[in-house]
Amino acid sequence: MAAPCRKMASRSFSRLLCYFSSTAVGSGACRRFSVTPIDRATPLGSTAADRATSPWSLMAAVCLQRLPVISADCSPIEQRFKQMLQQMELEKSLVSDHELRLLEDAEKMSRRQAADYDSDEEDRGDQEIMMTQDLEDTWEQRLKNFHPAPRVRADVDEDLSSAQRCLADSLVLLAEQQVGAEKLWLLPQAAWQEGETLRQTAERALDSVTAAGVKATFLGNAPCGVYKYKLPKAARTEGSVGRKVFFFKAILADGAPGSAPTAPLLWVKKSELQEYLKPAYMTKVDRFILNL
Amino acid sequence: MSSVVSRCIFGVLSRQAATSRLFLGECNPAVQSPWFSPVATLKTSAPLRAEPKKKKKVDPRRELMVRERLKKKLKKLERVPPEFIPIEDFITPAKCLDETRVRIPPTLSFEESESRALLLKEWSRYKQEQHMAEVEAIELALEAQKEALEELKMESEELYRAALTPDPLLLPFTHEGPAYTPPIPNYDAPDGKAIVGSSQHGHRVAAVLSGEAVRKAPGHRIKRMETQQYLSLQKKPGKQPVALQTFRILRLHRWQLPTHSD
Repeated sequence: MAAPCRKMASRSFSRLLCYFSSTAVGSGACRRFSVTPIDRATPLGSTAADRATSPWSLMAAVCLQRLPVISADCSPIEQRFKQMLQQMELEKSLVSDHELRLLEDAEKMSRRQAADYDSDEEDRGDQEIMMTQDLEDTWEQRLKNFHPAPRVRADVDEDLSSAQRCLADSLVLLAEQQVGAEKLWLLPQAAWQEGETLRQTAERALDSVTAAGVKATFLGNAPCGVYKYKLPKAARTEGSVGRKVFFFKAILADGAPGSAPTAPLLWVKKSELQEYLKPAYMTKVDRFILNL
Repeated sequence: MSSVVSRCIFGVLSRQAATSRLFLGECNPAVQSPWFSPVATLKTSAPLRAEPKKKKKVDPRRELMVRERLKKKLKKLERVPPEFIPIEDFITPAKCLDETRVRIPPTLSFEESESRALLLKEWSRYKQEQHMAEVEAIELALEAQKEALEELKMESEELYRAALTPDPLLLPFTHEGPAYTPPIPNYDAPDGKAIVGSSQHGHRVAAVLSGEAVRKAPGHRIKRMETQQYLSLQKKPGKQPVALQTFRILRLHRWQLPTHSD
């Protein structure tokens, strides 16, 4: 009687402490606050007790995003505004050196073609060899000689498993995983094990699904979303009534993927997510995937 | 005859004594003996006899005085406040005030000006919608995160605390933003020229910050830092003659420095 009471008291007290400290400034305060003699008395015991009583089994999933590589095309209103703005800026500006040279050259040409042209007056030893128009032509030529990579490649865009598709949008990684009896498309997830944080679980999930060379930066230790679901009655046990999946955000670093992935993967835009995810899952995931 | 002999002997004796005295180095030039002429005394001067020169007491004091005077001059000149390096962006260059560069503003028709005004309004509406959508998206994401943290707290305190700890390895986080075209695979970019600190002051700022000596252009006052730097650079091992130091310092503090090649 006394032992469970003490445990309950300690748990509620530590929860109270955490509640107060979470409202304090910064999580550093929370960390310092939590090292109290009461907590020290039952460190692992409290976690085990928590986990034992809770009917939810924990899982962590990773929301890996490949950010846009090229700038998006302008929408019609953006294009119109851009043109108008350029026109207005040109009207308000001063004449540049290059334009002055063009005007001077034009004047010289017109003077030369005039009937009463005296070449001795105009011709000087320090005459420029290059006319301004020729300069412009050389620049144009140099620009034409440079071949940039194409912005849009239709064949790559259609290949859903390639990370190079739709370079103007941000893509999310989906993996087909066995959940219960069926195979579903969802964000790569893994079950939480004792002794690791949820972020480590998410990292493990990513490593299990992708190839070895994939580099991702996880954005912090905190989850960005949660999805909890109850298992069908047949699969429910004493320990787990349902599952809570915590999502962690990661950004794909630039680099070659290397070897082929271990599981079937998809890189999809936010608009295409609906076709692959279940509706309840989709509503939760939709909130934290930003398409800005 | 005996007096002559005695005189001769005396003379010989005295000469011998004189010569012996000469050899012993006890010759007193003040003693005017008929056998020693002033020419002889010059030949017996200090370096020949290897005697250390007697230093006048005024000399070390004079050197100290000279050094103090130089230091005072330096301090007076250093007290002058250093001129500020002008911010070149704030000075309108003379090229822009040239009248030949003014464009003739075109006359806009009524329709054109109307369409511009309407487009501006449409644009502000578009941008406002975009901004509100962004704010809403961020709020949704924050709400999702709060919910996730609450659920985690209900599950396990330790994991909750671990989730709240900041990640020290995350920042500084860099990511190359989108360009107009995607990167060309295995592209070897050609080398270009970089003009660093092309302006006079740019050079000075860069040199002063890196601690190098700066060559002053004529007509400029020298700043305190540069004076000290110049003097510190001049410190060579061994003692330099005072006259040369004075010359160098005076050259530094002239208003117009002669330009000499480096």
